[in-house]
Amino acid sequence: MTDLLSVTVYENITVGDLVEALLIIIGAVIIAKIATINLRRLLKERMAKEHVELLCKALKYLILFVAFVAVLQMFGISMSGLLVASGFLGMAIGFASKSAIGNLISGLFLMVERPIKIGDAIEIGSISGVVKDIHILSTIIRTWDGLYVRIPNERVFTSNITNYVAHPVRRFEYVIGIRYQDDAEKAVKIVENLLSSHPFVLKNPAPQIFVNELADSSVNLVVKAWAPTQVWYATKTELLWKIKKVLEENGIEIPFPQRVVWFANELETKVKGGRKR
Amino acid sequence: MFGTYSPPLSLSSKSFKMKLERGRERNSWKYYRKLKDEEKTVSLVFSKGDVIINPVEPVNLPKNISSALMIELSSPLILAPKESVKIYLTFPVEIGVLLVREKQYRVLDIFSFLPAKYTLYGEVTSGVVCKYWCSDVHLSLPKVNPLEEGVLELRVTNASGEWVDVKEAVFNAYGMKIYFDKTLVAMRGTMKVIGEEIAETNFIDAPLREGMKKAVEIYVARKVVIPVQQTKFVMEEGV
Repeated sequence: MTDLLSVTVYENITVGDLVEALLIIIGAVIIAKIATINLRRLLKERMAKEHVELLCKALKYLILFVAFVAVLQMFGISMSGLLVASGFLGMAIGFASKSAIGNLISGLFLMVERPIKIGDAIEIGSISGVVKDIHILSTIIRTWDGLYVRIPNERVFTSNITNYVAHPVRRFEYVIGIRYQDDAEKAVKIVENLLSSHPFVLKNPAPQIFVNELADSSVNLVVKAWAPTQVWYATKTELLWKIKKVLEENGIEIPFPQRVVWFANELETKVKGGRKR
Repeated sequence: MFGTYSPPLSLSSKSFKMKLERGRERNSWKYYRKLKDEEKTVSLVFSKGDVIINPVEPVNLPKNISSALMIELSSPLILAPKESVKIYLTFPVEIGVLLVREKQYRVLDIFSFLPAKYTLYGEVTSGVVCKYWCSDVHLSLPKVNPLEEGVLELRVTNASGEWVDVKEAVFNAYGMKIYFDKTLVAMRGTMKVIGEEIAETNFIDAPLREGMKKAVEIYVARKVVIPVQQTKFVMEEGV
């Protein structure tokens, strides 16, 4: 057996070298298979299927390429020329596709860190809307007014991201001004009752209603309440008008801006058809 | 009200009206329901089928946003280490109207005679939104109106080595097994307190008393299949 392995096949390449090369290639194929299976499993729910397949293929060919280079080295074939050439080629490609690679790497980080998911309501920089897709190079947003916006992943990754739906609940807040002659305690009670009767104003964390400011024209009440994220917007938009209506039904009014003006000297006014004062 | 009906049907009471009547076209039907100020109308086309009216998992109204039900105890239940007690709590009843045809169910309507309320169990960042209900702790079967409230027989076990105060219990709708008869809607469940802040709740698939009928579970009967992960609820943010 040892004799067979030491039989020279071509120049200084023996049967043993061939067997070793074959084992390296088989090993690389197995490693590539295991690596792609694990990568596929890891990214299955984080990326679109076609992108996952693309990455798996890239990983597979990278592993096979490394094995191939190792085999060539084993056979005494110098890789220095190839490496120099591929180095120059790599630099050229690198310069040409600098932003693409930046976006690709950012995309991978986004997929691992997952600050946003498809369907999330978010704000990235000055753009806000719903995430429609997360590609390897870019993220697609549908803005609130229905526009299609493609943001390069590098920008997404380096920007401040606000995810409006990351938590199960959200708070909303109103400032409601009532007249100075109105009973603020009564107003607080009325708003409290209204909020407690609404199904989606959460029992816990409890809503807060208090007098926040004695302003120029009104006593300002602040209403802070929490709602489940899914129905936050609907609850917020529904309740403000209901508060206004229920306060008015109870004789509490929201005043217009007003100013009391005092004159140093008494004014004489002429009213047509009236009498002089 | 609960039971299986062959259409057409008509039910009414003081503030409630429901009817399923034939339309002009062949096989066409019109469903109408009014409860207080809320009305619902659905047009249907079917040649044969029955209508089932039964209590359903009470987490659907006014909109299904969570599958968890929290029952807050009006006064805390204090349990010594390794003690166990059977208590009775109430829960809100939601009534489901389902069309059934060859074991295929279609939810037509869900309504309740009681107002709904939601709450958060746990922290703002990681908690669970739950349908909320507050119940007194009863040591014997309480008398309730079966159209409004059901009774949950709960075996609470303190498996920890500490005294515990049980103030609330959270349940997963996927595990609920509701049984009903003419005078009672009931479930049986367990709550195992593992530590001061951790408990596990689950349901027992058995009637509270003999002769009760099992309600159709809409969480598995719905046409839209909701993947069932688990039926237990692990309370990790306090009991």
